[in-house]
Amino acid sequence: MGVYRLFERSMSLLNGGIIAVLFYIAALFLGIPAFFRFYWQDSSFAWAPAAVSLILGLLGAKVLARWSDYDLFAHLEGSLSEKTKAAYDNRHSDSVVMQSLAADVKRRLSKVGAKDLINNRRLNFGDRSFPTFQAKAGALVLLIAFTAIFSQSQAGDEITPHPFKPLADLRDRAADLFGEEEIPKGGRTGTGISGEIYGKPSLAVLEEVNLELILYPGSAAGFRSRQTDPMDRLFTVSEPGEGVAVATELYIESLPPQHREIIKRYFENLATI
Amino acid sequence: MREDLINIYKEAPAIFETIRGEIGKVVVGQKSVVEQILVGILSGGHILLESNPGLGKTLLVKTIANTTGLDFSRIQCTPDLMPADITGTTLIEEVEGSKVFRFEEGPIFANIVLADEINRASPRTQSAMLEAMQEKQVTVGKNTYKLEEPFFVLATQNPIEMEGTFPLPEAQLDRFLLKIYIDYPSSEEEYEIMERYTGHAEPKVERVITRRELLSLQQLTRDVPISDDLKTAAIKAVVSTRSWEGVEYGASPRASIGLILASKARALLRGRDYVDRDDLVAMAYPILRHRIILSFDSERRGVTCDQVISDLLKSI
Repeated sequence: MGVYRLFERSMSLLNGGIIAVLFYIAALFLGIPAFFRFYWQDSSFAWAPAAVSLILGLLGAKVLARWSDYDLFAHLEGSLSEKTKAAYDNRHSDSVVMQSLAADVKRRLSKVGAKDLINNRRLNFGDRSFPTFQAKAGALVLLIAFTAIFSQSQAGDEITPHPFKPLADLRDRAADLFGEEEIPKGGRTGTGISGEIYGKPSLAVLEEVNLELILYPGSAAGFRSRQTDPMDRLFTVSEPGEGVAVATELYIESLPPQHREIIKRYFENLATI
Repeated sequence: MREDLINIYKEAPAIFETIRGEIGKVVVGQKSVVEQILVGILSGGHILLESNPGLGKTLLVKTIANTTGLDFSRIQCTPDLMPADITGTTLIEEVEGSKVFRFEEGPIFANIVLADEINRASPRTQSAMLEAMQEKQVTVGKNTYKLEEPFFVLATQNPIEMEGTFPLPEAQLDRFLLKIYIDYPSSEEEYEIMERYTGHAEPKVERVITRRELLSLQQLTRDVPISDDLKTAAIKAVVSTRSWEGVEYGASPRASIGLILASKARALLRGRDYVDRDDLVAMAYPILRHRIILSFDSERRGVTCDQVISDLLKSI
C-alpha cells in the first residue's frame, strides 16, 4: 500500500497547489502582490503574498483531506467492493458465513494491486472519464500558466517605465534645461570623487572624463553634476531642510495619475518624519 | 453443532435449488413469489399473500409446506370462525373415573399455518392470532402453550371482494414480515398450467428439507454479514416513510429489522455470503408496502404504496 499512500500524498499536494494558485490569482486581481513589490521591492517581504497563498493552499488541502470521507472500498470493482465492506464491518464476527466471506475476500483482494485502485480513481464528465490525478495535474499547470501571464501583465502595469514615463520626461526636460545630453538610465556611477562637496566645484573622474560636481547648500542630495556654471534660476533659494515647492508640484503633476496620490502621500509622510 | 452449520452452509445452494425444483413441479412460474416466500421462511417471519382468486395462493403454500416436511395446518377463515377454533379449547375428559380438563390444540399448533382468506375472519378471531404470531405462544384460560419452532403463518387475502370482509388492523398487518402480491401468469405459463392440470396425473412434490435443516438455515440467515452502510440505508428508508409526502403513517422499527433480515435471507438464497444493495431494494417492497398508510389525497390521486417505495428508494 506504500505506492497508494504516495499517490494519496501526491493528490493532496496537487489539491494544495491548485488552492494556492487560486488564492494567488485572487490576490493578483486585488493588486496585493504589486502593492508588496512596490513598497518592499528589495525585501523578501515582497514575496509575502506568494508565501501566504502557499500556506493557505496547504491548509486547504489538509481541510479537504479531512472533509472528503475517503472510501477505499469504493475503488474496488463491483461486487468486491460490497463484499469487502461487509467483511470489514463484520470483522469481529466468528460465524460460519463470515468465515467463508473472509476467506473469499482475502483470496480476491490478493489479486488487487495498488495500481488497480489508482487507475479506478476517476473523474466523470458525462460519458467521458479521466483519471483524477491527471485532470488535477493538468488543471494546476493551466492555472500556473494563467498566473504567470496575468502576473506579467500586472507587473508591466505597475513597475515598468511605461506608467512612469512622465517621470522620464521630467528628467529629460531637466536635462534640456541644463543643456546637456540625456542622462543614461540608471544614472552615472564612478569612483575617484574628491574635494569639497559644497560650495566649490569638485572633480569626479568617470570613464576618463573629468566632471565638475557642485552641490549647493540646502539643495540636498540628488542633483546631477554639470560642467557649466551654476544656474540659479533652476532652484529656489530656501532654508536648509525645507521642501522645494515648485519642483515638487512639477514633479507630482508629471506622475502618472493613478500613482500620483500614493507618491504624494509618501512625500508628505516623509516630510513629517 | 458448528460442524452441522458448516455442512448445511455448504449444501445450502443445492438445498434451495432442490426446493425450487420441487415447487416448480406444481407451481408454474411465479419464481419471484416463491423466492419471497422462501425469504419469509428463512427469516422466520409471517407472510401475507394477496392476489385475485384462482392464482394458486393456497396451492403454493401447501406445496412449500410439503417440500419442507413440516407440520402443516389450514384454517379457512369465515366470519363465524371463533378464536377457540384457531387456538384450541379445553375439554372435560373422564380418566379412570374422574373428570379432568384436557387442552385440545387448535390448528395454530403447527409449523406452517395457512390462514386462508384471513380478511374474512372477524376482528376477534384475527386478534386471537396476534399473540401466536408475535409471541409464538397461545394463552387459553390461565395456561400458556408454546408453539413449536419453526412457526409461520402464511395468510392469504383477496383484494377485490369487500362484502363480508374485515380488513386487517394496522397492528396485525405490522406482524406480517412480508406482503407479497401474486400477479397473473404469462400466456406461456398459463398454457403450461393448463397442460399440467388437465391430465390424469397430478404433480406431486417430495420432502427435500428436514425441520432441523430449516432451523440451521434460519440461523445461517442471521449470520449473513451486511455492511454498516447498507444498515444505515435500510434505516433511512424506513425512517423516510414517516415523513414522506403523501404518507399518513410510516413504517415501524419492526420494518427496519424485517428489511435487514429479509435482505440477509435473499442473499443466502442467491448463494451470496454478504448482503448487497439489490437485496435491500428488492426486499423493501414486500417489507414496506403493508406498513405504509397513504393519505387520503394520495389515494384519491391513485398513488400506490409501491410507487411511494420506489420514489423513496431513489432518494436514498
